[in-house]
Amino acid sequence: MKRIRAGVLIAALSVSVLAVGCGRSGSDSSSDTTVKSSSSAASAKCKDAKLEATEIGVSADTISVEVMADTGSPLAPGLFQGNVDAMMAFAKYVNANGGIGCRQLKVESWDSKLDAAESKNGIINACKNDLAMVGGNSLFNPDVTVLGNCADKAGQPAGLPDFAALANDINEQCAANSWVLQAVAEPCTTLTGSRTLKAFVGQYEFYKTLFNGTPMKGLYLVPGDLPTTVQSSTIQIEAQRKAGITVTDAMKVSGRAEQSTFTTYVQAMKASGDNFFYNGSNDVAMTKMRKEAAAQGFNDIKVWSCSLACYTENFKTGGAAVDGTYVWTQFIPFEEADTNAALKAYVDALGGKPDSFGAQAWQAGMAFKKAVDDIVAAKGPNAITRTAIIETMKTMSFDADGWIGKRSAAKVFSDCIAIMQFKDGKFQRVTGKPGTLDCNPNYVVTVTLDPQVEAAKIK
Amino acid sequence: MRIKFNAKFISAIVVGVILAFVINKNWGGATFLSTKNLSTFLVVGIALGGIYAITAGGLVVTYATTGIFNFAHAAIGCFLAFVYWQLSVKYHIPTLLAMAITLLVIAPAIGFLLDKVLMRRLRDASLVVQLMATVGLMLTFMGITLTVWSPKTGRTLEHFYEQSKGVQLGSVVATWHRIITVIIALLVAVALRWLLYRTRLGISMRAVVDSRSLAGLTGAKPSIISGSSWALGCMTAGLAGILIAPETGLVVENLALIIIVAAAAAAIAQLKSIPMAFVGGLIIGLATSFSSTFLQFGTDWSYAREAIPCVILFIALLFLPQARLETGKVRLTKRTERLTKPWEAGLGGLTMVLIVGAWANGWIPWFSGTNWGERSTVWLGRGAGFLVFGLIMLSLIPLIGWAGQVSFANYAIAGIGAVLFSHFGGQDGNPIGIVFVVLVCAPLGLAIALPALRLKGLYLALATMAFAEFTDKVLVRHPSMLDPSSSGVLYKPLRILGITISTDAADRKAFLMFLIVTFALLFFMLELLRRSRWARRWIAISDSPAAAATIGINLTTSKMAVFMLSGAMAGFAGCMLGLQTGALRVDSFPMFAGLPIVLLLAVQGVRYPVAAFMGALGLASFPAISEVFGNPSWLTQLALIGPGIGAIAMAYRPEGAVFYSGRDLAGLLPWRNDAREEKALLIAKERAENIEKDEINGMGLSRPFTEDKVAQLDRVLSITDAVDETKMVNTGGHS
Repeated sequence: MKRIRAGVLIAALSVSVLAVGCGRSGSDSSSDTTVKSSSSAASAKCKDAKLEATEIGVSADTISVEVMADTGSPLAPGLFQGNVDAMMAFAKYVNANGGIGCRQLKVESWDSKLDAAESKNGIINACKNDLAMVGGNSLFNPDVTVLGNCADKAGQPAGLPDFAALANDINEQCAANSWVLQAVAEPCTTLTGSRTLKAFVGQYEFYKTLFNGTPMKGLYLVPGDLPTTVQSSTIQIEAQRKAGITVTDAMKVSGRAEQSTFTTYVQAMKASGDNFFYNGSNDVAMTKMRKEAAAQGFNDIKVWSCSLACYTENFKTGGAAVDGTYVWTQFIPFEEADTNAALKAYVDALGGKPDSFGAQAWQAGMAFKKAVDDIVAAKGPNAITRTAIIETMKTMSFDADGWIGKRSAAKVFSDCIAIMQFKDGKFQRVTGKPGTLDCNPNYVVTVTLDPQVEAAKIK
Repeated sequence: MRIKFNAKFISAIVVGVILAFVINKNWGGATFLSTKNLSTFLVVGIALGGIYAITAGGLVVTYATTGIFNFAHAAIGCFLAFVYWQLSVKYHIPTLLAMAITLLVIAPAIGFLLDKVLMRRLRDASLVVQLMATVGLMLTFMGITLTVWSPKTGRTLEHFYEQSKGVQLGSVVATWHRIITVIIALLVAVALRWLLYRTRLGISMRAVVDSRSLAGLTGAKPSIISGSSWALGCMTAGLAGILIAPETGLVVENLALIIIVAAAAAAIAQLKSIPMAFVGGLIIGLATSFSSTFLQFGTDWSYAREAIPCVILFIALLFLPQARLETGKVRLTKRTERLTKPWEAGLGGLTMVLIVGAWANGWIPWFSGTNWGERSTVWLGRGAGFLVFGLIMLSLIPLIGWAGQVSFANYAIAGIGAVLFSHFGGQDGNPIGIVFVVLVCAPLGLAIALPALRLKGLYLALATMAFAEFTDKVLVRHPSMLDPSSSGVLYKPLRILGITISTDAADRKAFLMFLIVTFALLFFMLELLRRSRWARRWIAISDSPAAAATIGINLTTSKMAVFMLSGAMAGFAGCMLGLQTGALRVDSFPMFAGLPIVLLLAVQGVRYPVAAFMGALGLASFPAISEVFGNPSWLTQLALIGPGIGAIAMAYRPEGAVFYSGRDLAGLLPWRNDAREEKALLIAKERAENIEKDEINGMGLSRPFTEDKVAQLDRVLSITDAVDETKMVNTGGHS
């Protein structure tokens, strides 16, 4: 039985993409040349090698991986189809360009159906049949036991490598064998109580420059359908305060809320004299908010800001009503495909119709390929095992050939950003040069709080 | 003045005190009498109220003119809103013309089609079949809309006069769109009231609901009238959809699930007064606005605001008048059922165990192919999941199937059971915890039904729906029930008499076998119970409460007993659900997830315990087909319209697939004369009903009475119980 989670879904998504991330980087976004060199080194090892079936999911001819995503829920058909499409396209691209680990890449898709049991089944299936999970995005994935104890070809509990595009569930984020493209705020030492968490403030630093020293104060709109999304938002709210912005109100919004409901938020902003607004919810909520503010004649907001959740085709249909909205990403935007080969390969492979989820899946695919290439370059094509991949991914340096910021561990927090503004029907970059990311270690801060306690304070 | 301290008065005081306590406890600190707060509260509340009122008005008019509570009402409105978007935005057809095409052409066409294909066949069906058919229809309309208009593509419908400034009321602007919505809701309420009570068409519509045959005798054309009623219902749904879509966004679930709020407003109107539906909508809108303007719920009840409509629904049901025992509507619908003999029940249970055991061990050749073999661990887990849902279905058999008490709460009770088990025993695999959960869930099942026991079936169904929603939004989200920050696996494998029943990924067979054995035992127990005095009482209550009361059956006690039994079984299923999933989230038990369980059971036959097993197999069918055929794209489409197929199946086979296939199979056995007689009787009855449909219209007005016709009429009006097998003479008198 599929679990129907009407209404809460979109809100959950919005927070899941809120802190979408990439790797740790230096002060610029120059491409990691080791990626290409390891790839060519790996190719060299393929010559004259007698290939063997070294692991579950690795035959003499193919390497098989699973992409697990919520695609078939009756209420949200095709929700994360972008992940599956991207991984399928990635396999074609890789196979057309020399393959992976001297073999062809085979991608199997698994529909987790917004259902925790099917997510667990997906992991079990990957454990039985595939070398790793790559590019996945499943909202409800609380039981990741098999990621840790999955047996390898020799019957040993080696674990299953999980190169997740997005890990929405804290258990998957903090699983020992997961390599998460998305930023992981949690310390993963404890998942409850007061703890020190990471947060990104790069966007706020940019917005402050637009105010020329005028104090910023504003409402933070929290996706309120799930306690977990509310708790996640408390981290960002605290980060906003730490960046020197006064959060006059933090208010929950339901994914099913009518636009009339937003009158209350506009009234609250009016009463507080806000000049800044941050939407932690999804693109639909942002559109309603902008429209309601216009309907109420409220024009005092200087910066309307939204996360990656608004970087969608859907948001563009808001037209003039959402004009001027700022959106930030942690990868080079699609509009700049000509500036980065990896980005261009993705955009071309998707027929010019990219989406954020697919982009992250493609990047996760690149990370997996890098891990395999590194192993082949160092130990040869018959050294590809789950154990080897898990060891490699924990310290692997990766930047998706310059598409994202550089990272050197399995769970990191990116300090890179690109900010765009929606103007005249399209997203236009407002920081840095096309093809670059603005990276700064100071963009990542730590906040200490108990998200559950803070969540209770949100109206 | 003398105050009468009747039950309603006392209830009103109790409800008032509780509300005052809740408001006082959660007051957010805003000044009530400030102009800003008051104007926000009123403008937002009335705007929301207008949205809810217009949907509720359509829901009430559909019920008043068809006698069917249409869960699909908002989903139909959603579909029509998308049609309107397609015409006005995509095809650039002028607004008024697009609206006219949508509301005056497409909506009535859908209404007439629904009536022709589905609804007229549901007229005499049981309440559960009626309700579940509309639930199936709702899921189908949602599926079709999602298929035709992909949610990945953004669409917006502009508010009417979006660029014009609205009316300033205090510190708030009331937009023209909202003003128009409220005015239209009011006008529609008045117009529909006038239509239903002051026009011949409206009176005919209501008359057809009361008695189709007698309405036909007075010159009304029941088939056309009922088609018109559904057309009218679809038109109101479409109007609501078009007006609401700019507010909710063109998002399927936002538009379709507004039915929950509309149901609450309709309950305030007692499902008959359209003006009161308008008032009901306003009450809910104002209550929601009041809570967001003035209240702040703490950590423990942080989602209480979401539950406001269902709380209002529950309160409205408290104040409904006591349902009268229906008399004069008793009809012999079928012959006395042949009871399953104990040995047959035992054999049936054993067969279930053998089938599942053989499948789990890969002994069935067709199910041991490459895909199944490779994924056997996955399928063992899925099989356990299907059986858990089968257990929940089993808990509904005595309640809905025998006692006729339609409940949507059992999935919620199972959820509560699962959560309780995670606290008591589940984390240690202690079976004593299961006993505790069962003992808690039995009275819980009763507590849900208690306020509604005095009401008719539909209200009881709505009350259980409200409870399910309340459970999802409030009860399981309470940190004491399920800590939102808790994560990971909450249950350990069950240990019984030193034996550990593994639920590990590597060894799921043991738990599956444990489940099928317990399922078979409960199945056997129910079959035995069906032969007992208790079951006979419940069936008597279901067939005719008046007759049951007359022969001395205590209706209240009997109903309480069946609710407790059902609650206990659902609680047990909940424990199994926890063990099967291993981990729970606070959003694991949405009300709408329980509906397909009841739907599937109704399709299989809600009176028969074996239907629960067949329902579990039905659940397995889609993923199984997907596995065998390699996840074909056509299966996704089929899954979307599957509930609709189920709805149509119920309309044509209201007793359920198990009954008809069982009867046909039994009829093949030489010693089962009863099965053959049963089939012959039903065929005769169906023929009599067809005569009614085809030939009664206009009799005595446009067509003359003949001796044959008088005999037919006698049969149709049940003046004689005997079913005349004489072939009808076609008089050719149709006009």
